Amino acid sequence: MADGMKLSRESLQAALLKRGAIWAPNDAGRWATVESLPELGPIRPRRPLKDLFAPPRREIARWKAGAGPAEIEPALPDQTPGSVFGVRPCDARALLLLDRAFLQAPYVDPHYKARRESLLLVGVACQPGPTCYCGVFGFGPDDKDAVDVMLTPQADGFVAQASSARGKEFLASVAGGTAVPLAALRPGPRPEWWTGLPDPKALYANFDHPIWRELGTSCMNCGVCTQYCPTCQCFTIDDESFKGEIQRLRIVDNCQRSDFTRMAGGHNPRQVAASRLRQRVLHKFSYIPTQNPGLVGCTGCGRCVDLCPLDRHLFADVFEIMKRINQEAERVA
Amino acid sequence: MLRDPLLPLPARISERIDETADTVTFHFELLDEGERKAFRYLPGQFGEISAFGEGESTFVIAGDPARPERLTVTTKRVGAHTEALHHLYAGAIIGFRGPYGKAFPVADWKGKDIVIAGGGIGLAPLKPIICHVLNQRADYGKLTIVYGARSPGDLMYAADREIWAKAPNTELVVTVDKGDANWKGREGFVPAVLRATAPKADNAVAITCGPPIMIKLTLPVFKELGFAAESIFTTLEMKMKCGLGQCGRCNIGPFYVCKDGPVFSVAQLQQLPQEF
Repeated sequence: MADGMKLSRESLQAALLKRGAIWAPNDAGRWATVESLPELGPIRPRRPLKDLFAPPRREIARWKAGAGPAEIEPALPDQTPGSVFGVRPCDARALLLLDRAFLQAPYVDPHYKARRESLLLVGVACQPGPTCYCGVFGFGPDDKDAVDVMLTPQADGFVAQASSARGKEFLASVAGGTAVPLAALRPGPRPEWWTGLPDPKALYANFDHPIWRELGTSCMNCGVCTQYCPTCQCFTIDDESFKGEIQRLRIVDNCQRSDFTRMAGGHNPRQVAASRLRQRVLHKFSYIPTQNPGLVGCTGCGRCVDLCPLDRHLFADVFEIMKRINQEAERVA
Repeated sequence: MLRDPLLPLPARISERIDETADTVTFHFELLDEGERKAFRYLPGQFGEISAFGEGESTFVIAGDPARPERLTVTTKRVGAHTEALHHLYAGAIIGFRGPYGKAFPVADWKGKDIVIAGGGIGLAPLKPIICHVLNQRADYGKLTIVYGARSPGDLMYAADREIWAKAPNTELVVTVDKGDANWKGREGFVPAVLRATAPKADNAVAITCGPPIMIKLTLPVFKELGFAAESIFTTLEMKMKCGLGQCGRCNIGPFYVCKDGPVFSVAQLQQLPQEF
């Protein structure tokens, strides 16, 4: 049995405040700075943690229209030290995927990097809800691999465990902790009918399967799934001008919009809704695992299942695709 | 401090050439002397151009790679951003980021014949290859260029074509879909003219770029002439925003066109999903 450290809420809060600003989910489920540690809900908040690292809207630069763009003022990364309280394992694991995009040399995003370096990730174990699926990906509600410190809530405080050097250092700074035994990690939930992750190659081999069209007809391509997905990273770049000042912005985008791939001149390789749904499923479950063995482009947070206006269920879709593909393979054999 | 890779470098347009009614070539130079002197690119690489205030879009660098301080893009007016670019003249400031993407493997082609089939503005990504081959003339075999456009008024790079027509060991074949009263040259679509020109496939590589339909009909002609899928190259057109493999837009199969392309051999393309 591993060792944890029993902490009172007050001493934890004091140590976090000493480190700097504390970010936590607010009442609306958005990430905001707080004065004191909030009471958390049982599961992940409404907005994914990526908002703090790759925000939906971030300035690249600005310039005065009159002065001319030769004098561009780059936006400065926020290096304010602080911490994020209430990080859930599904959101933290999603950052490992975003790290691949934004910390990979030679094109490192300095804003993302600054936040990753300056914010201590303080996880809090969940009480999984009906649309939580971390178990599909082999980790659980108290998984500590992608945070600095994982806290398991107790009646009178938390049991903390550090999982990084900076987490250890932080725990050493908390006053009045006592060592206690810590229970083994809990398994994560998954749908009882789930039979395992799809084979990335089998999915890809069925690129032209009619099931994509069938599933696509009941998706209205609103893209809410991508906007709330903790791993979705797609963005566009655009300029906005207001009162003589022009801002170059990196703005969240989503692959379900018909003009996501529409090129100047009108050619659009993904004109049909079904082709965009297929792109989303294959990117997460085939392309990412193929290029990065061990990683999947989904962490089972279940927000897309909760928020879909047509009650689509990503895992049910993926399960259905694999079932059909396997049945057909058996028939051929 | 780490520089934001999305931050454009200011550049000054040094020359504007109106190629056709809707296509303009801009030559430009980076303002920062250090950046300008350090800048290098290879044939097929691209960059992001800003008409400041109207955003950014992707263009292949269509210049002579041996003169990297003089950057060139050829732009067709098709949307709000290119409309804004086409309002700019020599002296105006634009933004540039790049170079990005994998280049044509010109070093591997040494000793071979080079066959180029371009249509319309699709000549732009092929021009740096032609410049490179002519700069290093002794390193390469015969250069065949088949270039077509819809009408005589749609042909671009007139000054360059004059040089290419006189270059040693080079055959330039220009064609238009339909000529006008003054047109004395060839008529016909690029695939048919390529077939009639019949370049040797032996120890040769083929490179094509143009409208999707032209590429689709040109690839079988190259095959007919005996070119293997590994010896035919093209550059894939796909919407891009960042050029860095971050914005997700140009993802196709397990690749990002901006990082893993835009240059692909036909053998590589056959491994990709048939989305395009």
